[in-house]
Amino acid sequence: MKSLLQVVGDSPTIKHYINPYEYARLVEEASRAGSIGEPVVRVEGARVVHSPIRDEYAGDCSSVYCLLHKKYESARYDIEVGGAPGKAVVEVNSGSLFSAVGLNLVVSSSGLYVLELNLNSKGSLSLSLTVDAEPGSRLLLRVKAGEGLASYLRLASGLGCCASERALLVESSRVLKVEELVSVDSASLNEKAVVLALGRSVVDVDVLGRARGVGPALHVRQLLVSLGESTAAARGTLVAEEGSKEGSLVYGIEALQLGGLAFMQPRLEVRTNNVAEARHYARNVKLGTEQLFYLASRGLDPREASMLFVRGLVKEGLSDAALSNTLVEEVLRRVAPHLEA
Amino acid sequence: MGFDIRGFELEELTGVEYRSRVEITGRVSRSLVEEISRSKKEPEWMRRLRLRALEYFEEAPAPQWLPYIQRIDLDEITTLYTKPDVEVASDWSDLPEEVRRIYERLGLPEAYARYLAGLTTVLDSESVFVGVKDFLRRLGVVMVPMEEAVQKYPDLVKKYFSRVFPYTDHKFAALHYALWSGGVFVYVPRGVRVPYPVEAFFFLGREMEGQFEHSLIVADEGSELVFIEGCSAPRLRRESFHDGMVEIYAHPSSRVSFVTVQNWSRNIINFNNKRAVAEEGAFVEWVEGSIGSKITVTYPSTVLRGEGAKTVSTLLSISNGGYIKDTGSKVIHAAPRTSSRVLSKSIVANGGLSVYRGLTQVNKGAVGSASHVECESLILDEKSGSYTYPIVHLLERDADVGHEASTLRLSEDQVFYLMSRGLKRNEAVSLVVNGFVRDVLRKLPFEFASMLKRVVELEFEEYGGVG
Repeated sequence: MKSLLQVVGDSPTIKHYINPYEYARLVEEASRAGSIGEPVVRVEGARVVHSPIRDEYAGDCSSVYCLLHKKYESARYDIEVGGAPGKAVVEVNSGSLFSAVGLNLVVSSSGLYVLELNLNSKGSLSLSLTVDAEPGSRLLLRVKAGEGLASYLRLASGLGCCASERALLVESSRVLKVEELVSVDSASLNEKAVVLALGRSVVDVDVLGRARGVGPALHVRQLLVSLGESTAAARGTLVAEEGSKEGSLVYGIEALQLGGLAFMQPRLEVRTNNVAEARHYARNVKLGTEQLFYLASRGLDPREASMLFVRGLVKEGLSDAALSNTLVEEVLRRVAPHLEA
Repeated sequence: MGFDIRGFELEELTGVEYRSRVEITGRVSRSLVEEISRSKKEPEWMRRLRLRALEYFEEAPAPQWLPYIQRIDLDEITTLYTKPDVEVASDWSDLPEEVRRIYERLGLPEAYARYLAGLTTVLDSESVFVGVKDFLRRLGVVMVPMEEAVQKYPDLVKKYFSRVFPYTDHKFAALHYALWSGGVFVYVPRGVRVPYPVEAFFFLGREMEGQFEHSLIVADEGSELVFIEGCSAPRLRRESFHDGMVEIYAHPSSRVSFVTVQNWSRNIINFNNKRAVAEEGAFVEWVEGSIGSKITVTYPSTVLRGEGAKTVSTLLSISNGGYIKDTGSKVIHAAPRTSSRVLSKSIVANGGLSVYRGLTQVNKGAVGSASHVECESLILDEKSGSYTYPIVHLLERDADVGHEASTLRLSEDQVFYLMSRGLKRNEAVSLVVNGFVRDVLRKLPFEFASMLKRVVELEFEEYGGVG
């Protein structure tokens, strides 16, 4: 049978939250105008080496976004971080209408590592990020996309193993398409992603996860926070592959609407009966008057109650205290002014 | 093997014999559509509607999101309209013996006598029996074949026909409108509560044939109705195609329950388009037992258009063998304080595939709305698969929406526990499977619940069942 994954996007009820053809037009126009340039990449806190452009991509690269990236990628860098737990900051700038860059992140640290990725160009950016992390490592990837043209971020686990637990915080004021590919083979990955859509932005996060082998565990939890007039969308498919044994798949999406819209599609494909656990959920969350009253009767003012509520949402699903605390602080710093409002 | 259950004896037949009066064959074309319209002596507005739908069908792309669509070759379906050589009867004894025998084996005369307020049976493309009990007539309820309604109640039909499910929705909806034939029109007047269910039964008797029945139910303000839809076909050597449609219009404070027991034979490709509009305070319930067919695509949908409207969908699908069930439920919350609940259960075995495709959308302004969707799949072996594709669109912040789903395998722990209490393995498995579908069976009228329970046991007896 033809894979459902490839065709389900045409379903009349599954809209493109970001029109891929408009994005393609933008890129082609930049190409015609000769405004496709090499971005400037600045890195702090890590070793960077220029890497040859390779025509190989981990995982599936069949979307319009990925194919355009492949066509126009003009530079690739290897970023190696290791040793003591720490933090690296990557700034991507470009004066062009469109730029495409590849980053290979190799994490040899077994502790918590924070990578900040700032997309500063006003033009359109296409970024392919491959992550190779030591088993047992914990990674917080923070992506900040300021105002600018529609952009694309591809996040794939490399051919090595992936971190056992990682968090992704995407904050965007622009139209941003995020594609995430993850594959576990007799291994486990627990991921929490928080998406903050600001202003009039549209952020669409699409995950494709595959679990193979014996006892694979793939748990993906996403929290959408749509602020102002923004739209936050999370969707994806987790697949328990044929022949996999005793796998555990959990795909959960929660939406906190602070003025904006939220779209959720957690899809599950189970191709074997030998699964230990396969479940998904999608729900909206809000701090209701009853909860506020309960917390107020215990001495918390509305601001503290809201903070506690968001803290709980962000922490859910993460087991590593350091990782969840760091993520909570990052999210609260950005959401707090909106909660107060 | 013969079962004393509706529809199942027919699985053992290779075909049923009866004469047809009119057969319209060939490819879908303007002349063919006009021929159908002419043979029904339809008014001009209906003929034009058919032709508009045909144009849309010809231009619309095939829905590529159904990967098995390539397996459907409409050119294989050569007979697009068949009128059996039977006058519509209101007494079983007026039907020719070979036709009456079909319905006797399905147990319909007995069901009509015992617990139905009205019954319409459609054989291929036309109604052959319409029974309406006197008390139902006295209540002012209209239950007539769709063709008769077009002639007798044109204003009423025009007001609702194709308004709930327009032909522009998708290619197969357009095909349906171009070729529709058969089906039933039910109108329940204001404040009337129909105390017993009414039923429409659809039988597709021949291979390479299309059935395109259209049922339209209008429940006026404060009325109540339970409608049962049954489908069956004998085992055929080649495929046949069913592309039916149900439109329900529930006026304020009305209640409509629509129960489907679908038991097509394994050669039928089944598209069933079902949609309801619920006005203020109305309640629409869908109960769907999807057992037979080669491929089934159906998503009972409700548009909650009036404040406080409610809908509940309870779905059970069984895919045993290399068959596909692509089912689900869609709900659009388009008014404040509307609520919906969807419960879907599927069982797959022997290479079967079950797909749940659902939509919950809360439109801007539908404040205080609530929706809960729950779906569970039970996979009984390595060859089978279960996919779940839920969609949640939240355009309104002030709503409570939740979707949860899980895929289960047969729990050996539960089987072991039951066996340690003295049950044989097949009895233990049977108990687990029946427990899994219990929530759905509870929703069905008693006769149908017993039948479905028995079907589940028979379908899965190699895993346990009745042994």
